[in-house]
Parts: sequence; structure tokens; C-alpha cells
Amino acid sequence: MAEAQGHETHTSSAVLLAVAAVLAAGIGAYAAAVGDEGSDRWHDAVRAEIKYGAGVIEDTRFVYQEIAPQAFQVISATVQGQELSRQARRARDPSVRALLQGEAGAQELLGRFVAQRSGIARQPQYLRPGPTYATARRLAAERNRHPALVTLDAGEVEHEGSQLKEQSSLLFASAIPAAFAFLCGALAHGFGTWRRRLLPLGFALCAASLILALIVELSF
Amino acid sequence: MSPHTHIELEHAMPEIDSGTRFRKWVTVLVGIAAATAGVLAFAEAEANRQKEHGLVESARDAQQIFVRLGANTQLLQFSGNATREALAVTLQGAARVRSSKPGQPRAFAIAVAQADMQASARLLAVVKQMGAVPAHTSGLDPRTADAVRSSVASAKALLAKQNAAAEAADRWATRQEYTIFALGLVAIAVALAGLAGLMGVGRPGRIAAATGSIALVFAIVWSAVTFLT
Repeated sequence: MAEAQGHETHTSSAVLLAVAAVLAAGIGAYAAAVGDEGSDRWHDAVRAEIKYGAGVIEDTRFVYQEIAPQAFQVISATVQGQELSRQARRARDPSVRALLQGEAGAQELLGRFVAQRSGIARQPQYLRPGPTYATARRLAAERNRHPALVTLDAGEVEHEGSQLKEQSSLLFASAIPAAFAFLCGALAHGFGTWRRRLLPLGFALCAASLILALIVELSF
Repeated sequence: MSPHTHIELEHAMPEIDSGTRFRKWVTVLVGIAAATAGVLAFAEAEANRQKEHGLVESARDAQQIFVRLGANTQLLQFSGNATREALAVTLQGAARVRSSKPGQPRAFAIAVAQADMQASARLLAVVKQMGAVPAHTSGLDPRTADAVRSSVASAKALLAKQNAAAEAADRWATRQEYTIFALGLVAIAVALAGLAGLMGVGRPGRIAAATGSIALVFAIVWSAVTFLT
């Protein structure tokens, strides 16, 4: 009977070792998969940041290097024309007045030509009285031509990745009790006098490991 | 002695004490190795998480620095060019007056110079208006506005953050690599323990168990030093 009891106890140790090993391996494998998904999200965040940045650079280049200089050219000619017209009105000598009016007309015509040829005239809503040009609003319009690029939020994607990585780490941590359950199983095999305490402790640690893993899984 | 009394083998047969002690040694070695492997697996995962996070933060910060500098440079370049053009208008008028020859309509040159001077002042104001990007421009997403409005000083602060993230990534990468090495030592310890169990009590078995124990102790100390420093 003692032999049968010893055999049963040895079987229990073996079962504990097997359960602990399978549990730790299972939780570890799941944690690795979750961590891998987290890494993917982090890489997506870097891609999103690059894509967003490329959009900002291209749109600012277009607005400040293509549109704004042409708009300024239009405004410059218009303002010079207006000032020449003002001088023409003040001029007492008719010949000087005629020359000034001619210059003013040339500048105003130049302004209109540039506006028409450059396309500035096609979007008159940005040309403001003064005259001036609503460059920031033009930039906003250019950015909003591709809303998907503007709404790219690398920070949000990174946060999603961080959540998954944190879940993965906590899952790995929840496998630690199972590893200690394996220690209990091994000690129960080697130390017969402690066996009766170690086996229940080992199974309790396995249960704790499983419960912790489930809590982590449900918390995220 | 009652047949129901449970007795330990080593108490009943003192001559096999050494074999029992060897068995205990091997089981302790295997058990501690398993527990250590569990803790090290978590440590490795955590080190990997921190390292990757540092790398991602570092890459994003670097990208943001370049985007801020690039976006702001476009604005500065436009403002600089437009300011030079506005100033040139004044100079053009002044040059016209100074170069007017006798017989030419000097009154016309003076009137044009005055017109140019007024136009230049107005154009400088226009440059200022066109170069302004209010923090809350209607329709403009705040991140683009921040990038265009950024300065070298703000990029420096971001650069410090980027450097800190890169250094953190480097520190955690070292810890991860050392942890992987420690896990390798634990695997060696377990293999030697298994071999010792197969060899049984005796000189070869004891050598295998001793080497495995040393490997395991080294792995634990190595990991502790890695994470505590």
C-alpha cells in the first residue's frame, strides 16, 4: 500500500511538472504572439510618422515655394501700380502725370497677367483686400486635399502598440508562477518529506498562473 | 514496524545516502533552472519592449525634427526672398533718382521713387502677413501649424528627447542581449543536469551536475548585475 501511495505521489509530481511546463509554454507562446503584434503596430507608427511628415514637407514646399512667391509677385505689381497712381494724381505737370499713369497701368497689367498665368486668379478667395494673400489658409486647403494624410496619427498607433507590448510583458510575468510550480514539482520528486506540501503548492501556483494570464487578457 | 508507516528510503538504508543527496542536487538544479528560465523570459521580454519602444520613439522624434526644420525652412526661405524683393523696390526708386540726367524728367523720377518707397513699406507689411501662421488657423491641422511655426530652439528640445530615447534603447538592448546569454547558460545548466541524471551518482555525474550548478549560479548573478546596474 505504501508502494502504491509512493507511486501515486510520483505520478502526481510528474503530472505537476507536465502541467507547469505546458502552462508556461502556452502562456509564453501567446505572450510572444501578442508582443509580435505590438511590434508590428510600433513599426506602423514609424511608417505613419514618415508618411505624415512627407505630406507636410511637400505641401509646405508647394505653398511657400510655388504659390506664395507668385502671389507676392501679383501683390507687388498691384501695390506698385496703386502707389504710382497715387503719385499720378498728385502730379501737377501733365507730362509727368501721363508718364506715371503709364507706369501704373503697366504694373497693374503685370499683376493681372501674373495672376492669370500662375493660377492665383483662379482661387481669388485667398487674395485679400490690402492687397495680401491668406497663405496659411492656402496651406490648410492644400493639406486638406488629402484628408487621409492629415488624419494619420502615429501617436495613436504607437499607443496601440504600447498596449499590446505591455500586455505581452504582463503575460510573460504571469507565466512565472508556473515556472515556480515546476520548481515545486522537481523538489517534490527529490525531497520526499516535503512532497505533501510541495504538490498542492505547485498546483496552486499553476492555477495562479492561469488566473493571472486570464486577468491580463481580460484587462486589455 | 507497522507496514502502514511511511519511511524515507535514506533513513532506512544509510548506505545509499550519497545517491539520494545526488538525486536531490539534480532535482534542485532542474527546478531552480526552470524557475530562473521563467523569470529570465519575462526579463528578456521586458528588455525587448523597452528597447523597441526607445527605437520607435527615437525614429519618430528624428522624423519630427527633420519635418519641423524642413517645413519651417520653406516659410523662412519665402519670407527672406520676399523681403529682399520688397527692399529692392525702394532701391530701384532711389537709383532712378540718382541716375537721372539733365534734360530727363527728374520730377517723374522723384515721383516714382516716392511711389516705390511707399510700395516697399506696404510690401514689407505684406511679407509679414503672408509669413504668419496663427496657432489656430481655420482648417489647418495643429501639427502642421506647429511644424511650420517651429524654430531651431524647439528642434533642440526635441533633439534632446530623441537622444534620450536612443540612449534608453541602447541600454535596454544591452540588457536584452545579456539576458539572452543568461538564458543560454540556463539551458546549458538544464542539459548538464539531465546528463548528470543519466550518468548517475559517480565522478562523471558529479562533474556534470557541478558544471550545471556553476552555469546556473553564473546566469543568476549575471542577470542580477545586468538589471541592477
